[in-house]
Amino acid sequence: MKIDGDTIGLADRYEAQWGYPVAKRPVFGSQIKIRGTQSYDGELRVEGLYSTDNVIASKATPVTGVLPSVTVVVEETDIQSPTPVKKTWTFVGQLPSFQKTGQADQFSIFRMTLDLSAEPACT
Amino acid sequence: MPKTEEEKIEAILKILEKWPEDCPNKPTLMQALLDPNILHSKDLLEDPGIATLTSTLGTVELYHLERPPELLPTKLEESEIPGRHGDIFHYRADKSDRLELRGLVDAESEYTAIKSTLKTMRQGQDANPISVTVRCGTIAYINGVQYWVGDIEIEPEPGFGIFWMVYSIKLTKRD
Repeated sequence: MKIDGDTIGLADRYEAQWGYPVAKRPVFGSQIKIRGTQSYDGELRVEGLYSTDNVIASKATPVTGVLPSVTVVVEETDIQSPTPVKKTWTFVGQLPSFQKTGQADQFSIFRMTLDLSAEPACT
Repeated sequence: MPKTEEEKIEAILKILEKWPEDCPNKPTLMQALLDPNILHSKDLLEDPGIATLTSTLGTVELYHLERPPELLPTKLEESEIPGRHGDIFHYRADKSDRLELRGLVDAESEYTAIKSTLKTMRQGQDANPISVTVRCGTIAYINGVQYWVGDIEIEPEPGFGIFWMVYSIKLTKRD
């Protein structure tokens, strides 16, 4: 996983969801609602081991009052016959939330949530 | 009134054809066959909208009516009596009934019908009275009643990639 080009080697798990919510409005004298497709919304949640070279927290800080646009690239290997295929997912958004937890005699964990500004691309 | 199943299907098709092509919530034939009530047409011969405003100058169908509140106002004369708490009224008469049609449009053709056709009908309503029909399901509980069309408000809502606007049409009954 890369965040703005920096490799995060200790990311354990990620979860992304995105889509266009459907607004359902009831109309008079009918039990069938009408539907309207609303604006895009999505987020990417990443969890992993925290290390001293972790740079993610700095992305959650506004620059001149604005959270910067962050690009997260996830590389996966789709194991298929006859040869494995590498797939690259690119997520773009802002980082309004960063979380870090630790426990004595244990490891530190970070969690971040990227608020997606566009649909992710898979190449 | 259609009697045979063949005639009913034909009538359903005719109503569906009256819906604007650009309306994303236009019922499908499958939906209408499974539940003809969504056409708001008891005899399958009526207009396709939940509410219909019509005059010799045109017809406007309201397909997505949400609330049609009514006000039944009265002329109460108030008497002020010095030294007495409360108000004393005398009933004089009823005022003309008010009706407001609130709903939304999700297609440009529906927007144009209100913005243009209904406005034209309103301009000529002195000589060409506007009849209003409002249906609850398939029952036209306001059926062809003449109203004066008053102020019309259209408010676009953000966050949709199509025409998505709520409207309010204020009406006063012609007595």
